[in-house]
This record gives sequence, C-alpha cells and structure tokens, in this order.
Amino acid sequence: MDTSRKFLLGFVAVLVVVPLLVQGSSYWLSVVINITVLSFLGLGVWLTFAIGRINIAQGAFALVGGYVTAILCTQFGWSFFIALPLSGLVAGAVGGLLGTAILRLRGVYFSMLTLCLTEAARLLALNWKDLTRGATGITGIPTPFQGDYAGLQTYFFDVLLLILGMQVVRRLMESRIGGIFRTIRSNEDLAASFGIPVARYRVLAFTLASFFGGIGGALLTINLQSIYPSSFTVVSSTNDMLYCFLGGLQSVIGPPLGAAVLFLGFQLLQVFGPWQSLVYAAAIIVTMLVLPNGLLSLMGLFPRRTKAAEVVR
Amino acid sequence: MSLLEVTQISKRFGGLLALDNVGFTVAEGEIFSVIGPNGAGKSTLFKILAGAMRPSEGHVLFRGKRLDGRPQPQIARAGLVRTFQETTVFPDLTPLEHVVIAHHLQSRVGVVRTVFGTWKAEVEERQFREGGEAILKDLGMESVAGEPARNLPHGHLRVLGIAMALAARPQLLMLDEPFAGMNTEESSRAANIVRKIRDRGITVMLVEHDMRTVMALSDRIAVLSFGRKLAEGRPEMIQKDETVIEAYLGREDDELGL
Repeated sequence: MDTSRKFLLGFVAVLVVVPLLVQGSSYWLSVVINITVLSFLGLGVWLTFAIGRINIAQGAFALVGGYVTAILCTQFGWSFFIALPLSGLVAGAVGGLLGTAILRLRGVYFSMLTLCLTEAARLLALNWKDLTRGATGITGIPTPFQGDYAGLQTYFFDVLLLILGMQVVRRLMESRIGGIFRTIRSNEDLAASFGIPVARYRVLAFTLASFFGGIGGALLTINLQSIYPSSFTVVSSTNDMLYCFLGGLQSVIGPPLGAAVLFLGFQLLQVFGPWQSLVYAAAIIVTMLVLPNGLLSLMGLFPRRTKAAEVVR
Repeated sequence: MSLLEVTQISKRFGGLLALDNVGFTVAEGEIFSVIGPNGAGKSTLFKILAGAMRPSEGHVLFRGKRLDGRPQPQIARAGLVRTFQETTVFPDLTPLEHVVIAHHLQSRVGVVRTVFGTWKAEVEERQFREGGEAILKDLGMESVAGEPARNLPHGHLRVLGIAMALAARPQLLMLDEPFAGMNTEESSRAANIVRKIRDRGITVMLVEHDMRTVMALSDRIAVLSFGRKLAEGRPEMIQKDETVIEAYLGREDDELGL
C-alpha cells in the first residue's frame, strides 16, 4: 500500500520536527512524549481491532509492564534497557494465557471482560503488597536518560520505538497474516472452514497487543519514575481504545493520530476550566457521529468503505 | 476402502430426535448426495460432518480416522472441506485475496518469516498467488479477481465459495445446498463445475433440496426424512423407491425428477 508508506514517512517527519518546535518548553516536550507512548499503547489495541475485538484491557498490560520495569530497576538494579523488553514479554505472556481463555467471546461480552481485567489488575497491584508495595507504589525508579537533554533523549527513544512498532504492525497487516486477521474479523467460521486455526491467530493478535501494552507501560513508568496501582485504570484502557476508534481503524496511522488529537485536545480544553471534561466528552461524541470511520477519513486518503461499526460487529 | 464412513449417527436436541441412526459411506471419486424434504435433518448432518456440531451418538470416520467432535480447522487439515449456504464470503477482500488466504494449509513458512518477508516467504506468496489465479481462471472468475467481493454479483459469490474450498486442496468437498435459489441454467452450469471438480479426483458430497439437478449429477444418493435414512442407492433406484415416493407424496412428481 503506497499511500500508507507515504503517510508513514510524513508522520516520521512530523515526529522529528515537533521537538525542534517545542524545544524551549519542557511542558510541551512532555506532552509530545506522552502522545508518543500513548500511541504505542493504542497501536496494540489496534491489533485486537484487526481481529474484530474491542479490547479495553490495555491498561492492565501497561500496569504489568510498568511493574516489571519498576521492580527490576529498583529491587534488582537492572538496566532499563533489559527491563523494557522483559516488560513486553511478561505482559505478552500474560496476555497470551488470558487470551486463550477469553478470546472465544465476541462483541460486548469480550469488551466487558477486558474492562474487568483492567480493574482486576489494579486490585491485584493494590493487594499484592510484597511485590508491588500496594498503594505506596514504587517511586524513585532510576532513569537512563539524564542531563540537559534528558527530555529530548526520551522523546527520540520513544519515537524510535513507536516507528519500529508501526513498521512491524504495518508489515504484519500487509502480509498474509494480516489477511488472516481480516478473515477472522469478518467471519471466523468461514476462515476455519479452509483450515485457518482461528483460535491460535486470535491469541497471536492478543499476545502482540499485550506485548505492546507492556512496552508502553514500561515507557510511561520510566518517564514518570514511579508507578502506582492507579497509574493505569479503566480510563486509560478506554482511552487507548478510543485512540484507535477516533483515529481510524483502516491504517496503523490511526492510533497515533487519535492519540495526538485526543491528548492535545484535552490539554487545549483547559481554557474551559471546570467544563474541560464535559466539552471533551461532547467533542468525542460529535466526532463519532460525524466521522464513524475516524479522523483518517477526514483526509480522504482512505475510501469510506468499512464502517467502524461493521468492523467490530 | 470408503473415504467417508458415517456410522449410525444420532443427534438429539432436548426431546427432539433430529437424526436417528443415520449411516452411510462415501467412496473415493464419487458424487454423493444427501436429499430430503425440509426438516429432514440434512443441515444437522452437514453441521456434524463439518465439525460445527457433535453427534449424540455415532462416529464420523474419514480414511478410518475419527473426525466427529474435532475442531473445524483440524477437519479441513484432514482433507474434508466444506462450503457454506448462499453467499458466505469476506465482503472487503477481493476474490484473489480470498483464494490466496485459503491456501493456508499449504503454508510451510512461520508467522515471523511471513511478516518479515524472507526469501522463502516470498516464494510461498508467489506460489499461493499463482495457485489462486489458476483456480479463479478455471472457474471463470479471472476478470473480477481484483474487485472487492461486496461489489460482485450473486453468481460469482457462489462460485467464490467453491474456489476458496478448492484452494484448501480437499480430498472430500462438502457442498451445502449449492443449487439453492438458482434457475435451471445456473444450476446446470454449477453442476458442470461439480463434475469438473470430481473429474480432477476430488470426491464430492452435497446436501441439496433441488432434486432435478441432484438426480442428473449424483452417482449415489441417500434420502433423509424426519431424521431417518429412507433409502440409499443409485438415482434410478431412488426414483423408483416406494418409501421415497411415499415420503414425498403430496408434492409434485416433478420434484422427484420423474
């Protein structure tokens, strides 16, 4: 898909130019860093949209990844660069195990269960005090990025990972495996009829999504140098899902676009003071009504042939 | 040895006996049809053979191996591939994408290598593509190979269902009411496709309502009525069978192809 490659290049350019624009302001730099990591979380959720499941569990896997990094970096004194991939692997493994059990559910049943998973993860972190220190949380996690340019280093590291992740997902979706995901989204029985082991590919998608969740959670944790049971909640999971939904499900650009617009939008709505959340929610509802295919359809680059509602039917 | 052996299958839904001790065998290389009036249990039988349902009693043996109760992908891997009624396709994909993906069982390259497009994965992709193009050409669909399925006419979609099944290289192809809703001309064209498939060495079993086409096409026929097998044999025998005629009494003789 040539347009998607062009789009990706343009996106890379934006990511490189943005820090130059916000260089002076550490506030805006932290905003773009957050957008980058949230995009990463959204990208994982996007993979579960690809098999026709609405996943509201990304916060749970972010929490798993965050705690793995926090514990390894503080109690064991490991380097973040070793803890990071391990965070992804642990979250992926947990996702794979849970996915095997819950992925036979579809539609709203799957969504409700994943939402419960997020809450269960928070309660687990709160009560497993030996491991997580409960509500006290783990603070003072040493960051590998120090000095005057710590912010920029963090930004570029996160952007690099995001671009890498998007490339992997794009390649996956353009390969035959992506085709298999699309058939599963469309009709699992028909896919099984010519021998696709549907259950296995569903678990594959969910495991990858959870891996992305673990990595994203680890990145946010190291950026904040702390983690609490309430660091990732149902609201985080819902947001990660919304980035895909509002960004667009047709391309891997969807989640970053959605994350950027939603996160920036919320920051900009601060001018409304106490009405911020209300205006934000209203804007989301209006966007969903006017652009059921997400913001991507606004650019006219993708045909409006699949309604989001059909995708997740 | 028979290719498919169905040994005395029963299926109970609560108090209802949908299938009552139904047994038959399908020999390699034949076209075998199961017919019967509405509610005879044809669909239940089909679902059991396709792995979508477990029998209450009895077994399904394919080349002597038990298949009943196994998951659908495993049944397809064993060589028994089904089609669906009406137009069951993937609306967003093109026919070529359909048949390329339906080559899945022939894949020898793992997920990681497929995603990163190694040399082996590229070779495989080309093979699947060529195989898919050949199947579509064979079935007269090459002109619409790149069009999303949602834009295709009904007739093409029916054929696409068969194309997908063929891409999985079945030993036994099971067709679920392949002639339903077709006019005489369309069903005779579809019957020719079925014959062509059989001539290539693929055994065909079909469940059907449309008697006329079935009588002309099948090597052997089993007749179901109210969950029981009334008769089994060559079409001419079925047409003369008293119990079959009785079961269809009140219907036009026409429907029996007499």
